[in-house]
Amino acid sequence: MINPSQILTAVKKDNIKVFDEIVTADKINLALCYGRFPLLSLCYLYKSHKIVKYYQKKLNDVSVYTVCDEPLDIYTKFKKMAKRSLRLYVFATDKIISPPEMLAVMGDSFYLEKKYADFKKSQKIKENITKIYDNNNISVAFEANKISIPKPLTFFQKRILPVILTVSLLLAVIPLFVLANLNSVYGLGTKGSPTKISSAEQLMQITNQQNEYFALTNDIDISGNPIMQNLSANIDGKGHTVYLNSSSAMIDELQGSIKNINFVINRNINSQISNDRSYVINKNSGIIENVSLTIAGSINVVASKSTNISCLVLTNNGEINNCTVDAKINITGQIQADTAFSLFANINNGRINNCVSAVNSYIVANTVDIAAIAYNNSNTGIIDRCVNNANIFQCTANSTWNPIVAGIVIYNLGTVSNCINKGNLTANCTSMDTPLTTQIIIGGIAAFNDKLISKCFNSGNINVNTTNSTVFCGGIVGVSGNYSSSIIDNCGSKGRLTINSSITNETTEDTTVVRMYGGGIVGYNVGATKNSFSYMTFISDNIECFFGGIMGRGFYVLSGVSIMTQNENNAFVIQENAKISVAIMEYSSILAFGQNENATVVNTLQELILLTIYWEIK
Amino acid sequence: MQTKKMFTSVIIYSLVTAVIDIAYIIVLISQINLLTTGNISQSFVSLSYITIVINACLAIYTGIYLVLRLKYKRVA
Repeated sequence: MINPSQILTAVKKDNIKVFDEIVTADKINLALCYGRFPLLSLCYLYKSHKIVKYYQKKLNDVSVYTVCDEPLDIYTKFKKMAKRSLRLYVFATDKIISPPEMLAVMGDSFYLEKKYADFKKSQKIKENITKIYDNNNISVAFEANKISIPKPLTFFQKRILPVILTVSLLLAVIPLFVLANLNSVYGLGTKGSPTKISSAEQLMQITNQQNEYFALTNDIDISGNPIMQNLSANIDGKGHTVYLNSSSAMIDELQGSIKNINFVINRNINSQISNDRSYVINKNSGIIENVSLTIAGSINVVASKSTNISCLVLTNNGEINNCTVDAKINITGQIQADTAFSLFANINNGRINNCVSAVNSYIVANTVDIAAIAYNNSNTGIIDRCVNNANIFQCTANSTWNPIVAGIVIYNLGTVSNCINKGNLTANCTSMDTPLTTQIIIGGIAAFNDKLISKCFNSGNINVNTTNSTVFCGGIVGVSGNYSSSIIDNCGSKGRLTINSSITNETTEDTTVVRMYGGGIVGYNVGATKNSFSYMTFISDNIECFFGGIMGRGFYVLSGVSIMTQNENNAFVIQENAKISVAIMEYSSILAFGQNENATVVNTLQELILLTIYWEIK
Repeated sequence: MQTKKMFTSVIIYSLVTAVIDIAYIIVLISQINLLTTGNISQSFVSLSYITIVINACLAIYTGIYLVLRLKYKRVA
């Protein structure tokens, strides 16, 4: 007897006992098909595991179904499971949902693969299974009596997957997090992220660290710390100030770079100096850039040997770029030996570019030779685009001292170009016992020139007061002394050149008594002076003082190969006491009044401006 | 739908990432004394950058693999 409702209830409840009684009573119940749902498909739909376990084979063997009504709740449940696959069973002519199709709809791929061989299969069933899985983006493959279905993730796998991904991403972010934190707190020691320095202790430890790049985060006082030895790191001050002491330099040798730092000597210095030294760096083999130094006080040289002193660098073998020194210095030397003082470098073997001594700076000294930028510019040295604003005074009562003063460099053996002196340069020798052999040498740019000075300008005043010294003063150079190599090219000079002396000899051409020479460009010229101009005014209270519009004294040798001062294409504005370009010409040690040597003489500045060699400083 | 192969690729990615980053963490811990004083060695910085690059490459590779696989499935 057919009993669809009881069978369906047993299936829904997976009641094997009732199911067993019904099908035992009449086996035809195994062939029941509720509309589109065969009994086995319903067992799958309602997950009737017990019934499936014992009756799957028998139910699967049913070849002809006994169709009865399809309850709505079966369809509703199936519809929820089938989703997009529902269309396969709504419009198709063969609407039976076979057991393997039901397994496919339910996504029980594992069981479908396992039992596939046991099911009755048709081409239609295979197509439907393929479409059901296609709807879920899964490609199934049929081989002989097998079906191969890619496995979807299990519930556990689906839950664990985002956890694993999250943990992995968190792990992956750790290095980024560490670097970001180190970068923000300490810096990484790289060029783009320099190690941050905020204390004197950290700054003094730089030489012990492996990093190459450092940056200051605030002003630092290291005035109580000892000298740093070799520094190969790169320090960016970021505009902060470092306070130094005056007892030693901050760094013995710089091989890296220092930039954007303001150095300040903390207190007014009162140094007793017995050895060569600077106040910031003794030897620079690296790069110093955008550094300023403020220094003020008194320096007393107590050495009995020649002593070299510089404010910023003692010996420069590297580069000093865009630096400023604000100096207010009183310096006292020793008469037993020479003392040389400069603001930027004592000896320059490298490059000094764009360096400026601050306006209102001054250096007052007695027996100390002074230049604002460098003392000695060697044959490899280049000084370019530097400006001196400092007023320099050298006043000595010592009778044997030879004062030497220059706006840029004392000895130039290299190249000086595009430099300007705006400071006033003064040398006073007040001793009445000064012997004839003493000399005063002053040049607006260089005291002595043995190589090349080009495109330089002097606008400072030059003042000399002496009793008995020989004087060589020039707007650009004091003495340009090498015939074959000394060149002054394309330079200009203005300002006032004053020489006052108590010498009372008669005007004569005897070299033993003529000792005061002033030139608009050069005091005593043996080398070449060309393409230069001067509109200096000359003042002297002594008729023994000879002023030339271009040079005070020229040079000419008659014996052997004739050589003569090269004086080409120069021009000057004529003055009451400087009417010719070369005041005195030296012919094989015999002096004679000079003449205009290839120089254009003009009466006014306006006329000079019209000449092609004229140019103005910007 | 996520498949076993995709799951496996994520697991492999996670394992490789874990090995690399745990090794990095070990180095980090060994350097912690220097790091906390700001004395950061350049080799550690380089190691950090290398780890970041490897992590990024792994993530991008795995991401592209998953995206392409999903896209391929849809087309099929």
